[in-house]
Amino acid sequence: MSEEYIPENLVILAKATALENFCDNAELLDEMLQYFADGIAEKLTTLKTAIAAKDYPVWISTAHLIKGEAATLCLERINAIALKLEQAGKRQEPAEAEAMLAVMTTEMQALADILPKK
Amino acid sequence: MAYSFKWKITPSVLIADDSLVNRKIMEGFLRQCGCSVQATVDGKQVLQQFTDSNWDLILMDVNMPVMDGLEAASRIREIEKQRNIPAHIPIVALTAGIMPDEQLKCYEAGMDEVIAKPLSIEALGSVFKNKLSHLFE
Repeated sequence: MSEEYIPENLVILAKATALENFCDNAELLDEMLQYFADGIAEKLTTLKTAIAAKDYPVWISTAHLIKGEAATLCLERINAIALKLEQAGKRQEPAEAEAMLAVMTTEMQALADILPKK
Repeated sequence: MAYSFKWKITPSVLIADDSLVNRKIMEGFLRQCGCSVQATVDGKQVLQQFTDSNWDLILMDVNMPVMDGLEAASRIREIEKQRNIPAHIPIVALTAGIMPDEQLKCYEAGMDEVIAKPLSIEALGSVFKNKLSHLFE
């Protein structure tokens, strides 16, 4: 299902670029990835509630926040699906939002799988 | 790749972003570059900090709740005019949207520079050279 929304050339984490942005500070990058992963469950709940209620301002701002954080951390696939969700919110088109949310959840699990276990 | 800056005095940088991850990253980068940092979460807090303390640079997100970066920048420029402050504080926008019309809005609000997310230390270095070179040793 993800191929409908995410270009297949995108990777979970563009690590080389991320490390370059972080001036090769792998420790700081890992710490920030963990921050992101730790906070995402709450954001996904907010997003799910906003989509169900067609609360477009909250929907758009939450998707935008996830998109920005994912871009900063070079999480290409999460960035792409967050962008799609933000755009759907702006167009007020809830039809595919549930499917997009499911893709985002899958991508978050994929990220969790590559992060060091706590 | 290593970035090190030698400062005459430690630059005080005020940052604003509603994303905890982005704030942590900015703080990490700026401290690595030898700056002291105060983090805020929206434009209203930026305004408060601006009036309470002296800063060498403001680095803020554009899209924030409560008060966005454009309004905060615009109000800061008004305050500077009202107080006859001769040299304005450099305000740099950090945004995911760098379409020309979005950039124009930043400049119209009184921002000095617009840099694209994701932030990198390299981009910060460029900001330092453009806006804080007077503080270099």
